Amino acid sequence: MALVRAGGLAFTLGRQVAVAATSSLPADPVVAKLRSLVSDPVGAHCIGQIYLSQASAESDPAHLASLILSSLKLTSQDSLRLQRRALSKLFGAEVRADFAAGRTVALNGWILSRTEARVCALWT
Amino acid sequence: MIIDAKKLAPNFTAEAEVCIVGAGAAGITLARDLAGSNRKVVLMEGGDLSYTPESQQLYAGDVIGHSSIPLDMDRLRFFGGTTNHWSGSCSPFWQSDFEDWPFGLETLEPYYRRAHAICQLGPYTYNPEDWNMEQARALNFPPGSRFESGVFQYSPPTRFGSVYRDDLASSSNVTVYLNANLIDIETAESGREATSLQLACLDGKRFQARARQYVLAAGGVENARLLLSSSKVRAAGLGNEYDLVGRYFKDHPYVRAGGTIVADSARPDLWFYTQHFVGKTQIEGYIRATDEVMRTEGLPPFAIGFRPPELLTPDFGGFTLPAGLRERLSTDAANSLTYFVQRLSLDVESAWDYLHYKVWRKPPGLFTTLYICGTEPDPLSRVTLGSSVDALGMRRPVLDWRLPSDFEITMRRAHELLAEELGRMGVGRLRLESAATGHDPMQDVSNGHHQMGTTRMHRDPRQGVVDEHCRVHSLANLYIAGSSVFPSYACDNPTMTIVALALRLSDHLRSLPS
Repeated sequence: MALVRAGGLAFTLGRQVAVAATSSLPADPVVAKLRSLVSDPVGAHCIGQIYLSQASAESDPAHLASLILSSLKLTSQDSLRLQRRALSKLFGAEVRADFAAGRTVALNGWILSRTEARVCALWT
Repeated sequence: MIIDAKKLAPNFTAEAEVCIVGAGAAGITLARDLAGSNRKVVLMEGGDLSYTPESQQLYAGDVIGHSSIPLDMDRLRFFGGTTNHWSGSCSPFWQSDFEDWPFGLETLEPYYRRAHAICQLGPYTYNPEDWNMEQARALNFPPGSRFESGVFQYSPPTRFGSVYRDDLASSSNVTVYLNANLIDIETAESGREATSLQLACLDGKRFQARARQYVLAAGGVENARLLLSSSKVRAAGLGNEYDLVGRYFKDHPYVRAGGTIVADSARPDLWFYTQHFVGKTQIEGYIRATDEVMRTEGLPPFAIGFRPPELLTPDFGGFTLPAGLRERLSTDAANSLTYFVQRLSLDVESAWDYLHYKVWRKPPGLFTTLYICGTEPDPLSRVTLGSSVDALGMRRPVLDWRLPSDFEITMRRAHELLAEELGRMGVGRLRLESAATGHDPMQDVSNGHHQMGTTRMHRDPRQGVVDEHCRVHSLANLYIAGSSVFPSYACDNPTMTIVALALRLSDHLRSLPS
C-alpha cells in the first residue's frame, strides 16, 4: 500500500511538473520540434534535470538544441523540414550510435545516450 | 567392492597399484575409469555412504578474509562428495581460459566430451545458436561487438555417489573403503617418493595403504591441508618447497542484481540468459566480453546472466536479492526514474513493453543481472593450517579468501559495457544498482562453492605445485586430482573440467609401467 501511495503522490507531482513544463513552451520552433521527440514531458523533465545538474554548461535551450542538431548532422532548417517520423528515426539511430561510441551519461545509475539525455533536458 | 574400514582387522594394510583419496567427482571418475584395467585400485573415502554429522565436522575450519559460507557447509564429506549437493551447471572452459595452463583446450577437448557424458548432459554443443528456440534466442551481437554469448548446460545434477556406486561395487579391480580418513602421507627419507598412507576411522581404528601411485582427490581445501599436514620429513609439508601449497585459493564471486535492465519482456533474446529448458536439457545463456575487450579493458573473465523480477521476492528457489537492496528498491525514489526511462525508451526504440502503472508497485525493471567472475590468481588468497585440531588430531584449515582490490571497479565496468551494448542494439537500458540505490554490492558478494587453485599446475616447480600431468613436482608418485590444480579459474562451474582432468590423469596413470 505504501508503494501505491508513493506512486500516486509521484503522479500528482508529475502532473504539476507537466503543467509547468507545458506552460513554458519555447517560442523557438527548433526546440519545440526536438522536444516532440519524447512524448512524456514529465519523465523528460525529471531525466533532463538530473542531466543538467551534471552538465550545467548546456542549460541554455538554444545551445542544447544546437548540440543535438550537430549530433544529428542537421541544420535548423533541416529539422523543421523533416517529418517528425523521419526526425525520430534519425534520433533513434543517433542514440544507438552514442551507445556504440561510448557517448553515454550516468543518471542515477541509468546509462543513457548523451543525445537522449539532451533531448530530455529541453523539457526542463 | 565396498568395505567399511571400521570393520577391518587391526594393522590392516590395503595394497594396490593406485590409491585414490576422496570419492567425489574426481576420485570416482578416476576409479571408475581405471575399473576393468589390469591395475588394482583402492579408493579411500573419509565419509560413509550417506551423511553423518561426525564425519562432516572434519571439514570445519576458520574463514578469514572475504566471507564465505562455513567450510563444513560448503563441501560434503561422504561417498559422492560435493556432487551430493551441486547445482549441475557445466561448460567447458574457453580457449582463452587456458592461457596460464601448460596445455590448451585442444588437449582437454576429447576429455570434455567424455566428461559431458559422465555428467549426464544433453547434446555436446555449447554453441548458443544450437540452443535457440522460439521463446528464447541468443542475442544477435553485431560484428565488432564487444560481447558474445555462451551457454551453461545443467546436469540432472548427477550425484556421482548414487549413479556410479554400482560400477565401483561390482568392479573386480577397484575396492572402495568407507570411513577411511587420510591423516598422513609417509615418504622415503629423501622426501621424493610417497611410501604409504596412514588412515584413521573416527572410532579410533588405524590402518595404512601402500601403492605405486597415490592420488589426492579430496577437494580444493583438503588437498592443500593434507599436503601441509604431512610434515614429518618436510617441515613445510609435501610439495611445498617453494611455499606454494595452499596459495592462489579462489572461489567464484557471485554478485546478484548489480544491474537492472528494462527492456521489452516479449523479446526472446533476453529470456535466453535465464535458466530454461530446451527439450529435456536445462540450459542458461550468459554474456561475456570478447577476448580482445577483456585484454584492452583489463577485465577478468566474467559471465553475466539475467534473472526475471520474480526473483526479487524474498524466496525464489534459493535465489534471493540481498535484503538491503530489496529495501532500497522498494522506495519511490528508486522506482521513479525507471518509469521515466521506460517512457523515454518507448520513444526511442518504439517497440517496448509499456509497463506503466505496474512499475510503481513492483520493483523496477524486467531483469536483474547475475555477475560471475574468474578473478586473477592471488598468492595471498590461501589455505593454511590453524592451531585447533579435529577429532582425528589433524590441524584444521584456515581459509583466507581474497578478492582483487579492483573487483568492484571491473564489475562496474563490465556492466557499463553491457549497458552500451544493449543500448547500441536497441535492446534496452541498464541501471547500475549501486549508483541508483546506494546499495553496496560488495556487501553481498557470495561464493560459488568452487574451491580452486591451492595446488596449482605449472611446468616450473617454482610456479606450481603439480606438473602438466598433475604430479607433485617433488614427489615421483603423488598426484593431485580436482580443481585445486587449476592455475586460473575461468568463470564456469569447475565440475566438468574436474572430471575431464581426472580422465586425462587416468590415461597418464595407465601409460606408466605396471
